[in-house]
Amino acid sequence: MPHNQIKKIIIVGGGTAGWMTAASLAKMFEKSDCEIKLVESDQIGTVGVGEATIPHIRFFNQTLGIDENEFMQKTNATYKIGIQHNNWGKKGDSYIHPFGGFGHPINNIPFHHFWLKQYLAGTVTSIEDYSLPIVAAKLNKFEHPHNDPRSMLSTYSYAFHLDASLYARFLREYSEQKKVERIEGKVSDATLHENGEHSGFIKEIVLENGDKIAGDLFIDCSGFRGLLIEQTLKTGYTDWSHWLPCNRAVAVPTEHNGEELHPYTKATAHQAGWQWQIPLQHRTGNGHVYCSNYISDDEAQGVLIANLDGKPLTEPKLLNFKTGHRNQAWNKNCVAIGLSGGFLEPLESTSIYLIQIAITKLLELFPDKHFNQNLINEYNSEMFLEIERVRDFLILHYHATERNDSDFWNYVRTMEIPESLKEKMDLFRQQGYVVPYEKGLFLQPSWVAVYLGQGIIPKTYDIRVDNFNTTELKEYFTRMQKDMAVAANKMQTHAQAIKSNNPYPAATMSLYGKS
Amino acid sequence: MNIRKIVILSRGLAGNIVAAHLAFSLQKTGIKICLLELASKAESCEHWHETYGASSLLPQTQIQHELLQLDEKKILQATGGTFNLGINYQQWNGSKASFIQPYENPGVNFQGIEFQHYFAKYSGIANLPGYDSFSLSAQAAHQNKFSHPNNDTRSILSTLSYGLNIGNKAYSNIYKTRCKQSGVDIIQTNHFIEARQDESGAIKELVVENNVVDGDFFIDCSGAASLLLGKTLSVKEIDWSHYFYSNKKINFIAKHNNELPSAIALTAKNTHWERSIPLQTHSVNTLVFNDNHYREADALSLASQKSADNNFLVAQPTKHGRKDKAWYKNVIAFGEAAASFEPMSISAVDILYRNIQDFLALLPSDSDCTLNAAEYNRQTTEVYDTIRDYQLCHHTFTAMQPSDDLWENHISQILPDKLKQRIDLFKTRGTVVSKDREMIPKSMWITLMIGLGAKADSYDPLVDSIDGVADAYEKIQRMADIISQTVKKMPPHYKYLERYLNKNL
Repeated sequence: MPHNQIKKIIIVGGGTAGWMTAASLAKMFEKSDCEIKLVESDQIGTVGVGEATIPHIRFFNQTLGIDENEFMQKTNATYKIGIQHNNWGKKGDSYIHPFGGFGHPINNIPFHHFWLKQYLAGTVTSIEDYSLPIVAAKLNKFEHPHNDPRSMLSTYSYAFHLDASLYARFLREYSEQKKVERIEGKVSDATLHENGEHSGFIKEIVLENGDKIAGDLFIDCSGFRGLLIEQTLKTGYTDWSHWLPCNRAVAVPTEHNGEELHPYTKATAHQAGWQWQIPLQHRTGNGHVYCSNYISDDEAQGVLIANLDGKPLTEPKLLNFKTGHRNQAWNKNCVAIGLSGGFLEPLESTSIYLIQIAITKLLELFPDKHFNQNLINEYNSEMFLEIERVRDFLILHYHATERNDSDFWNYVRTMEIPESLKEKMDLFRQQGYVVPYEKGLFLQPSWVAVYLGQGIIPKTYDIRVDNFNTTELKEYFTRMQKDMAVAANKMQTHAQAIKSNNPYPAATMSLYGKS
Repeated sequence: MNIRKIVILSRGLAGNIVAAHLAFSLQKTGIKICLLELASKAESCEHWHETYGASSLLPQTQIQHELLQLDEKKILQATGGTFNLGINYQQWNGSKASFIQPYENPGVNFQGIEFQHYFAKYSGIANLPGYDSFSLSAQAAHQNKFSHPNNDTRSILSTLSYGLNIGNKAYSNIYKTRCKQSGVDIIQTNHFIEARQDESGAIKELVVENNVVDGDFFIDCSGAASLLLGKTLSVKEIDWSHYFYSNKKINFIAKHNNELPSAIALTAKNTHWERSIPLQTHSVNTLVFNDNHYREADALSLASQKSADNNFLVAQPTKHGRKDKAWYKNVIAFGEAAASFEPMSISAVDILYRNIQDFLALLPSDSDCTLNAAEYNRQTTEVYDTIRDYQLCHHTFTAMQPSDDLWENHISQILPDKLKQRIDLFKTRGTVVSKDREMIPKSMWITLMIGLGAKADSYDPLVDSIDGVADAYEKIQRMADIISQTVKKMPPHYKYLERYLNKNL
């Protein structure tokens, strides 16, 4: 078998996707004679919007052997334990989607049912009081989660806000130390094998200066253009903008305004989209994601500027995109990773996660020179499931709303949604049931946070809750609420935590921590 | 309208388990649970299975026992039960060698790459022992040994994973007692007459000999007869018999010839295959065959030679299939009333526990349960079809001599798409990708296929890229050594049981 091994991997495009891929492959192939080359051009700007992450990035970094504290320093990162959504269900609403669960299940019955019964009876406080990361986030506190599963401090996980271009640079250094060859240049063309087993496969890429670079496996990290996956292989793209109609973003960094540093991302809904606010150590990232059918670019920029907390540091930058996915993320000997594989707006900070999972699955199903189609099919169906489930979760934010203050909200509130999502929402509305699945990013705690946060209050709760004594339940809740408040108060502030250089816990591939 | 009363139409084990779980969850909610017990015909096969039959339960069943606070020791005492470390496949891959499939993953993953890839690599270039040599459970079971796992994750003894083998009747009685304690209304009857429906087609009452039992929701545990879901509501059957070779089975009881095994056995012969579930004093065996290829009289005579008790030796038809919907209107069916499987390694009780869990989470809040039923059916179809695929997989790789009809027949089967994809991926790369909420863990798929002799075209090429050959190879060798040394120190299963239960076997 060894003679069939992939010996040359060509990554087209730097940026977050390109350098994350390069770093992973470099680590994997450290001791082998497989060559990894990355072609990028300093002239092509990268789309550095993915500045908010989710906890899985820690697993990625730890697999590479990266020291987390060093990484935070080098990327000006801050901690993140959730996302605050403002004005989504209706104007004036606010909820946090935490990186942790709510309470604990009892006898296999999810906690939110116990809460729900009391909520419907008007005898309990907000469900946010029963999630430690939310309680801590509201106080701008942060502490590393503990390992002991009996500790309340093990019930959450954390991620980072980071400067994506610094992260790419950081990974570039890492990759180059591990023998990844960076080639400066613009790709102008690619040639295909004309016959044999690999007829129609990519043979080599051609640079503007005429250089040709041959490879066995090509990773397309060229962004929306899909230089290889689309322009060369004509793979096709499925458009999802009828469900997620936002298609532009205008972004600008601002100075810190002196307020306390939030350990969460803010996503604030506007009349035809929403605005992110991402606190870094040295500045704040801002951007307005909107749908150009409902608002002009100038107006959108105006909305962004009007809602900034600090002084803009540069001119606003405009980005175009189309929500959807590449029909086959892996086609022949080319794998599209990052925006070339598909795009979902960064409402739940999933861009870097989708890059990471694409790399992980590629490594799980890594081909040899035969490029067996069974591997490719499996990869594509797994990646599709991932992105489809994230898509449905994003649609929920737009569709479950009372907002009727603009054409945009009227459209998303009344649009047809995917059948699978409709069933999920109906079952939650009926009795608080969250359709279970294990594969995919957002599991029960996330669905509960967003359903309730968006204002879907179930008609009733799991009947089995009636089997429990109401007074005891109430006491249990009172105690938990108090314990969480005490625990959160004891934590250091987010700003202190960033400076403290404390040892950090081992990472897992979970959004929610240990329990 | 809210559900106030749930009626379970039961023929024994499944009904008792369901009733006890419902009572546990709903005892104080004011919802009444009624267990309507149908007497089974004394000479029927169902009666045999209820009375003399045994089940092998997966390790995850422990969670169900813990939920209802059923003590493992008491279960073993009451049911004549034993510990079970896996499935002993004898002669399935054409050789005389036996292979034991443990419940846990053999070996360890190095650098995030699954162990079987290293195994594939080094067994190609060096003389490695069989795949199950890298599982302590499997090696212990080869020597009829057992001990409980310990909690120290650094110790090899923490890798042990076990289920229980139990006698059905006593197991059923444990739940029956629980039902009585938790206020289940138990009604016994000799004869089911009919189910009456309202204008919407939903069932409103059951007419039985000398009684009429009304309810808001009905659970059909009437066994293969499927009296409510099948007979009354006419939910159609999806037949799987074209996938499976067997059409007959014979149950019998056998004496232990040797020491008490710590694994169940599945033995393949040219003409049939046989399952053996060891209990403390005897084993409960099932001989499975196709009467077009193996005469029923021959099968019966073979069974009677092995049987310790010639009563009830009868060949009964095997059934393979499921109802199109397990939940329809206000009726849900569990057990054979919903689906029938090959009598292999995943028991009806294991499947039942999964069904109960999924059902309880979807307990309808009122009598309109369309959404609940649709979601339950979506999940359960997946569960049932996957188990069917898993069982079918047993027959797919078996490489017996070409002249053997039994096995040739299976290899030529047209497989369900999902199974085909799984097998294709395995043949390509020696791995499987687990699907959502699968009852059968990925490791069991992989060990099954490897154990049956499936060959993959390649292993993960990263194995060659990552590590120096010597390092991983040494680690693997050392692991096999540690396992065989550890097994030596483990007590025989029967001795362990004697001490644990404080009795002589």
